[in-house]
Amino acid sequence: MIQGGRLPAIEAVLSRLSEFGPSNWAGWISRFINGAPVEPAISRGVDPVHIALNAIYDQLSEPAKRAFSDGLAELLPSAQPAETDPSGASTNAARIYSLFQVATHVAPPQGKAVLFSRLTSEAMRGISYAKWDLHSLLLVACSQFGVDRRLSDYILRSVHSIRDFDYWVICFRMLIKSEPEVNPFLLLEELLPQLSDSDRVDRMAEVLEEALYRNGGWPLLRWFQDVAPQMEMRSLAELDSWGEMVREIVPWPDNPESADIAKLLLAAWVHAPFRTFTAADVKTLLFVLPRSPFHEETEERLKHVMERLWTHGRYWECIDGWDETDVYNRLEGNGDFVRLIVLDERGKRTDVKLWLSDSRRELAFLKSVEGSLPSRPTYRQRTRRLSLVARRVV
Amino acid sequence: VDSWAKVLAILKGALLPLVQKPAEVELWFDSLNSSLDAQRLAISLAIDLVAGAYHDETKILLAQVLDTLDYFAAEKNIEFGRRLMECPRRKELYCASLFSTDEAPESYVSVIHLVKFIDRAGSAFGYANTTEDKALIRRRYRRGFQARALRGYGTWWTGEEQIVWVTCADRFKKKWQLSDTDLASEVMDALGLPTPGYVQDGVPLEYVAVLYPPQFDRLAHQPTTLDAWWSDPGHWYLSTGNLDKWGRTQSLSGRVESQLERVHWAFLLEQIGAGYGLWYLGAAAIHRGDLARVILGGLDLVDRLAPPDDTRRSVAGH
Repeated sequence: MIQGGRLPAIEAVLSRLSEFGPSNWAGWISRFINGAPVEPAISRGVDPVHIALNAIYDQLSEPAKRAFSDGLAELLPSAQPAETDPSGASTNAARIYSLFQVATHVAPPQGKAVLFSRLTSEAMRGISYAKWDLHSLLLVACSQFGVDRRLSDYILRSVHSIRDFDYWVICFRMLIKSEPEVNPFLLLEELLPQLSDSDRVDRMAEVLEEALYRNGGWPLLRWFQDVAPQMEMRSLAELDSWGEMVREIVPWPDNPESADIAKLLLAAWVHAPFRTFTAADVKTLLFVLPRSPFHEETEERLKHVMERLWTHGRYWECIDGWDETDVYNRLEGNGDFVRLIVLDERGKRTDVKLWLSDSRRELAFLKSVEGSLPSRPTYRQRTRRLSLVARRVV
Repeated sequence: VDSWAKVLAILKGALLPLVQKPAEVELWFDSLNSSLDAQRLAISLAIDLVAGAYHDETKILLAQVLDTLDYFAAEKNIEFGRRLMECPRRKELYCASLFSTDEAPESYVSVIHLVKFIDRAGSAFGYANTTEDKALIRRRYRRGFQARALRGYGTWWTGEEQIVWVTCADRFKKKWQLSDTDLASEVMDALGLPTPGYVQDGVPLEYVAVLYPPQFDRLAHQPTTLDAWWSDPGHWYLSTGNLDKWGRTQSLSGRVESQLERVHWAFLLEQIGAGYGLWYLGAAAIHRGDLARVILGGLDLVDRLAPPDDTRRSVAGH
């Protein structure tokens, strides 16, 4: 009861609300959303209805939260678009919006089926409120129960019929939460051709950063190695700006030895055409093998990375530590090591020693990679040729 | 003339000639000492009037609001707030101060609740009031105790809010950019941020600061009583005299330096580009403030603004 114009204290209101059963809650929430008088009364000022309802829910005890959640679930079937006004807008969009916002916060288990059914029937398509497309909001609400196979299948299907960049961005974010077998980057096929303005590029950069933070670098590395080459064949212009964005978000790490393996391989992949790689960098890449718990996939992904480095002119070569023909071996002394030489894009040499005692696996791997690469003049052949040219010039 | 009498003299001198029910309104003015919030309302109106913040048309509209009051309602400020909101020309009473500027060389900051930020700007990404999305925003915008550009948000939905309260970005940054302890509580205290009526004491509220681009050139006003919210207790607004086109916030505890404040119109769908930044401030503890101290400060200001002999003449003749 409103006493002399002043509402009862929130503590007293919450205490009374805590005694509500689900149907009391359903009635109270419904009236509160509609702006009708409620008992007990509460002030929301000019704050949106759902912000107040979510805050009220958060302050309830666990049993009272369950009653609120069940009451909310009772209301959800009523979230049906009503007739449209002369402008074509649904007359109850604000109510549906508030219900979905609260459902997203509360995730009422009893309401999951009806929310999913509304989603797949696409009953909310074309209805918007408060800058939200209500179908997208419904998708966000459904994802609060977990993005299982059923939901991820729906998302992947719906992006073909709902041709809307804004919707796709939200789909991408929801797929980030899905099971590992579903790669959200599959949506790039739809998203990349739409990166037409800086606002969209910025938005993708933010969701990319979120995806990498949440799931690490493997899904994007897999996409770059398995899917992007097909898109490259179609000469998709936006691939360049996408690559630029990824390079900005995934720089070559300051301490590559301790960097996350997938992110290191991803960084090597995207920076390969642009960055100068030293022998120490290549050694660090090789030594992800003993660090990785996923040996087979890591080896396969690393192989692709090494091939890409080679393709972009970052050549390497191994010289036996006992090879007296190498001038550095002669100067620095021989030993049970292999000297890994890397030439940068200008032909400048860096080298690092790989001791046989702790690098056998990495050296075997390197040899297997070399077998699949196009041959090129060895470092010694090149330097010998250069010295012959120099002698002729003299 | 004591300070309270001076407040009443200012109100009566300026507004009774404009109302339809002068006897009822005068009695209502006399009853405004019934609570601290009602006193705060009276003092704020008196400061606005004596400082010359209102145009004549604004005073006429204000008088119309006074004519609609239930003069016997127990909570005077809440009744005033309700009638103000119901006023058919309510919009004309926002940003009504004559002390305004479209120049903001110091730029602006608006401090709002994290959930309100999500609500206003989240649709571009599908952000909602969920544990995961709040964690994402905390992580993304807390780095290095400074703002990070709001990239990709596009537009900003302001809902029912007609105005945005802002403070001076330069002062805000100087005071808090290097601070790393209990930032939100201190900001909440200094800006006198009210706790919503649906939140009980002890529940932490998370705040973010939205930093405006330096080129923001929309007209901003020194706040007046008519910009403030009167329909709930727990608010701290007090008007300021004609100083520098800035209002002054009221610290909840009285221990933190007052900050500058202005208001500007909110646009339902405001474009926000990367020139805007966001800074996650953290969660604030609830302050139980001393409203009596604010009232005393207000009465002192009335004393300074209106010399005793001059009170009636100056406001009536404005």
